[in-house]
Order: sequence, then structure tokens, then C-alpha cells
Amino acid sequence: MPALPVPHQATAQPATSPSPIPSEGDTLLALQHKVLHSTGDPAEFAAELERACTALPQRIDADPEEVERGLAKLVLTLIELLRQLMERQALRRIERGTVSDEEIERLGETFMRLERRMEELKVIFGLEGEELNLNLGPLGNLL
Amino acid sequence: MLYLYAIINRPTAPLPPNTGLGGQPVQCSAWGEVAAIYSHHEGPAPRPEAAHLWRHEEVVERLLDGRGVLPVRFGALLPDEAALLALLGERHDRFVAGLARVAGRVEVSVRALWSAEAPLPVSRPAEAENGRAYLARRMAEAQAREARLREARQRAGALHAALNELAAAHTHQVLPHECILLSAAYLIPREAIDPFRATVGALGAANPDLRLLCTGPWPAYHFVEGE
Repeated sequence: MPALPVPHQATAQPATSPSPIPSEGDTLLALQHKVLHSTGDPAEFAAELERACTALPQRIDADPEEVERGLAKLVLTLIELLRQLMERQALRRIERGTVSDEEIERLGETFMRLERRMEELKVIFGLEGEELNLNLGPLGNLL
Repeated sequence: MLYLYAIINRPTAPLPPNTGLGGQPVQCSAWGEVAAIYSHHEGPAPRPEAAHLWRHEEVVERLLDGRGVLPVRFGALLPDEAALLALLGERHDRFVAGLARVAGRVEVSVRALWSAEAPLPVSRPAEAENGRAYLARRMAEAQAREARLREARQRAGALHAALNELAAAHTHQVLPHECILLSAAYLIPREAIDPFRATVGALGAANPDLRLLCTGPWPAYHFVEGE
């Protein structure tokens, strides 16, 4: 999404009929016409939304040079999902008091090593933490 | 190929001239009580570039003046007019019902960003951490996440309740991303645009830590399908 070059506290004119849309070349101005109300600078707003959207992988890149990284991203995302699910299950059991002290130590060691191994794999494939996620549309993010 | 922009009620008078993608003239074909707005298209499917998206939007918005419009999402192609008329015939009653639902109404979009001043703790295990300490830390992080989620649901729910009062229909998401508290679209009567804007302004004043962006009026893209 392009940034919006509009002033702070922008307020548009009453839009009781279709907004005038300028020429194809001036899409930024066109967006400005669509702002009914904004608290803060819409340009910053747009930039933040863009960061939020681009942080999530939309699809696997089919470029042959990137396909390995894309597949690694998908596989590691699924492994991370399983790791987090298992960890949450363990935390729930601990909260219920159904896990012995020995088991807590052993489970903690296991999950700690898994997390470290995931960090190593992310470094190997050049992935950041936020990249290990999938946008499930109306359901939100996977992780 | 035919590039499709919108479905409207059968027009009772010729539509004003309108230019579509690639400079092609916009045309209208009717079947029963409904009509499709399209232009001819050659070559590969149009790419979702800003200029193309705005051209599509402009064609649809010019139809909005005083009539119900079911906008078609960007990129819909049909092979020829026979296929177009078949589509209108097959879905005629659904289109009629959809047009009645959006008649006199427009879509407005609201996004609320909340402050990232208190980001969720994301820590890494210390080298000397034992298993018990690791799980205790993870539990504290999980509880912080849960508390933040509860707060988000409560605040987003309050925003949505106020905004939804003027709406005939809505679609909304709470926390689609960590920094986005609410992402919503509302179908409101055209005459309610100014009151809706005032409501957003009041919510912004009452929630100075949130940043609200309200855009519109848009064609009812989120409300084309019925219940």
C-alpha cells in the first residue's frame, strides 16, 4: 500500500456522493480523497499497516533460487506451530498440577532445546521470527 | 475476453460514457432485472497494480450514483457475452436480492491501530537456564499474551458496538495482527456517512492511545454475498 501524503489530522470533505477519483497516475491523491477520518498521520498509519502485512508470507516464492527458502519457511512454520501447541499443552498440565517436579524439569529441558534448535535453523535459512507465520485470512495468523 | 466490473439493476436509461481498463469503453448487458458492466479485454489477465485497481474502482463508483451496485472483485474475466448472459441468468435471483440489500448503502472501512508501547515479552532462554526456569518464563509470557488478548477483545468490542449502531451489516476482525486492534467494514446508509464519521471522531477522542483510520464511501465489496 502506498504511503499517504496527507497532513496531520486529515479530515475529508463530506462524501455524500462518490468521491472524485483523480487520474490513474495519481493514486496517492485518490487515497487521500477516501479518508473520512484519521487520528494521527495517515502516512504513518499506512506505513504501519504495510509493515504488518509484508511481515507475513503470503505464498511460497516459486522463483527457483528462492524456492528452498520458501519451503523451509513453510516447514519451519509448521514445526513451530507443533512446538508451541505441545508447549502450551504442557503449561496447561503444569497449571492443573498434574505434572511432577521431575517431569517439569524434563519437559522444560526438551522445549528449551527445541526452541534453540529452531533459532539455529532460522539463522541457517535466513529467516526472522515474524516470518514464521501464515496469514489465514479471516481466521487471523497461524502463530 | 470480457472484464467484469459490477452487477446493477437493469438500467432504465443509457449509462453515461465510462472508460475501463486499457482505455476500453465500458458496456452493459442486461438479463431479466439485472445487468452486467464490463469492457473488452485482450491479452493476459490484468495485474493488480495501483493504476488498474483505481481504474476498476472508478468505473464502479461512477455507477453508485443513485442505484444499487454489486461490485465485482478486481480481475474477473469471462470468455464472451454468451458466458456473461449465462452467469446473469444462473444467478439472477441472488443478484436481485443482493442489489436490494446494498441499495442506498455504502461500505466504510475502519482500522484501529493500538500502541506498541508495551510489546509482548519475547525473550530467549539464557544459556544457564534450567528446564523449570524455562517453563516458568514461558508461562509468564503466555499469561501476558492472554491478558493482552482479553484487553484487545474488550476494547475492540467497545469500538465495534459503537460503530455498528449505524450499520445494516458488518464484518470485523479483532487483532488480525499484533498492532491492529480492529479491522472492520460496515454497510451503512449513504446518508449516515457523516454521523458515522462523527462516531469515529468521538471514539478517537475517547481513546487517545488508539489511531483510527476511517475510509470510504466504497462500493459494498464485503457485502456482495448474502447471509
